[in-house]
Amino acid sequence: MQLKKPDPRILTVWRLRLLPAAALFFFLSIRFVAVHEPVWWLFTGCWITICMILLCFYFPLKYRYLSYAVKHRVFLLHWGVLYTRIRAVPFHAVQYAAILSTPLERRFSICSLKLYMAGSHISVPGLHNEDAKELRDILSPKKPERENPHE
Amino acid sequence: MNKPDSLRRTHPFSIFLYLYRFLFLLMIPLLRSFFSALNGGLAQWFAGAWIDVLLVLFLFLISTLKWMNFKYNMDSNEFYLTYGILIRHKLRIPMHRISTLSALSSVWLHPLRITKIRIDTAARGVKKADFSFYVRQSEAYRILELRSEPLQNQNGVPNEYRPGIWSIVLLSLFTSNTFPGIVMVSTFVSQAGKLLGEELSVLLRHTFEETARKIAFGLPPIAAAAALFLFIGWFVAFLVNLLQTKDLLTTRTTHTLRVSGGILMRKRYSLRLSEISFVDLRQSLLTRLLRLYSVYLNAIGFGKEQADIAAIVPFSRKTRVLSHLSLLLPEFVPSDRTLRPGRGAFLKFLLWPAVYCALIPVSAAFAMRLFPLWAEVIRFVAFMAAAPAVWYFGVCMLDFVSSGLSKEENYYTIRYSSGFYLHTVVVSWQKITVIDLRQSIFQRRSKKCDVSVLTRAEGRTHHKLRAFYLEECLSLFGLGDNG
Repeated sequence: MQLKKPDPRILTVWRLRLLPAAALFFFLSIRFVAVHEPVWWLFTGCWITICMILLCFYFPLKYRYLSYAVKHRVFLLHWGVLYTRIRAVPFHAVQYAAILSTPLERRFSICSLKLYMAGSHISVPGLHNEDAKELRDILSPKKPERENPHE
Repeated sequence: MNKPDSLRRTHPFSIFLYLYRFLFLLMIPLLRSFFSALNGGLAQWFAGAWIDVLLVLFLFLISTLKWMNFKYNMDSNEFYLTYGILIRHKLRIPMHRISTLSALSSVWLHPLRITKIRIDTAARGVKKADFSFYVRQSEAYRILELRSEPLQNQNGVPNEYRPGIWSIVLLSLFTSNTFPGIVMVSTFVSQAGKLLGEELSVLLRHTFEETARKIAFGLPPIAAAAALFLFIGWFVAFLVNLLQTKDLLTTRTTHTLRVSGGILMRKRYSLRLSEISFVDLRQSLLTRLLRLYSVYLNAIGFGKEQADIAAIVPFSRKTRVLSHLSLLLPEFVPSDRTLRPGRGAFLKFLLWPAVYCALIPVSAAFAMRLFPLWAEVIRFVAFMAAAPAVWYFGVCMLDFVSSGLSKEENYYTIRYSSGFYLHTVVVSWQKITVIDLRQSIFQRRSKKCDVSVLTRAEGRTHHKLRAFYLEECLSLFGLGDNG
């Protein structure tokens, strides 16, 4: 079984998603600049630190641990940073699969695949459009044969 | 959609059920003022209450129309239903799509020979039955007979199980929940005053206080009263449970499992075997020490309501339980444990329960220093809080030694604890929705993981295990490279 990695451009998408929040905090810091106030230093230091941790450590680790594979009866997704997870979804449990893409993802020609099961769902980000379609076709429930009412 | 030739109406009793939500708002004050008006001034009463009277008549009319438009037909192939006044619904459910078909008859409906039919499918809500309606008893028997099949047997012995009275008593003893009993007793005492006069309510309260004072041997009176209240609540719940599960009988046919029982409410269920999600052999700390097991079923439409039967095999010894299970549901017999928690996993199981046990006396000592006048009360509260903490510690300790995973053909046996109960769950691969293997930073180093199995059941059920070796779990579930 070979684990596949999503497109590395998803890392850029995650980093760019951080920009609006960073811009907002930057604006607040500039607007209420008070160099002698400890609260200002605390606030500014916090958001810069959090942004740097996300940009330099969290997102790269998130990409490093993210991978997926299709086995003969399950779909596997590896993900997580602090807590890493292997999530296995049996084919028969998938109710339907959907392909989603935000404007930012479309700019980089990638998308996400979302699998819906009874009471749960999982999302696989950073897929090429062709890979996403192929996975959707493999994982979507097939048309059932005529049922035997006694089974 | 072609409708069947003959449609039936439900029992006219249904009219009162459609009314009940709204009628009680008006009927009681209306009746009270009517009786007082009979003493004189009936015309004045009507002049003031004519809107209420009109509203009651209107609600009665709507309920009757609802009943007249609710029609069904049920045969061995399908269930056809049409209902609604302004917005008409027509639907057709194939019989093989009905997961559970139930017939329930409450004790106060026995004289009227009315039975409630409940139909559950895999669709729609979890908390309520998909469809329910009231019919005559003879019609209920006819409907249940539609799913009748020849009994299965092994070497001439029918595949059925009828537990003895002591198993039922033990089941009620260990599963009675104090809270519903307290609610019933509180409701009875408060309503006794309204319905039968304040004297009865006062008498009941006085009797309770006297009894609490008599049994308070060295205890604060308030503690004795609380203990007495809890005991009465538990005893009422125990009696109700006993009457709900008496005469329990479980029978297996080719494609269905039939369960019946109860005196307060006579219940008969017909479950499709393919709709059984998992079987749960459940134990508390006490029943584990007594080596007693009970078997619960999780299936769509089964064990949904408070009054439903959920256990098909009440408390018995392990060999007997396995013997009955192999008779009724041989696919769901638990397999022997193959995977166990990793070495050194005791911290994972016992750390937090030990912290809770230690925290309570420390907090109590600290509180008694801060509030010395409340020392007695704090000591009592700490004692009451320590009991469940120590109980929980005991459950986690047993979980540590018995937790496990195994597989037999396509059925997985999962042994774990949840809250104050130990579970041995047997589930088919077909009913597993998601398998989650989670590792923390520390577990990555020791190559262990926590396992969570999500099953497609009545609602969503998580089965969580702790501190298993990752490679072993991947191999068991067929998720590894060689799977």
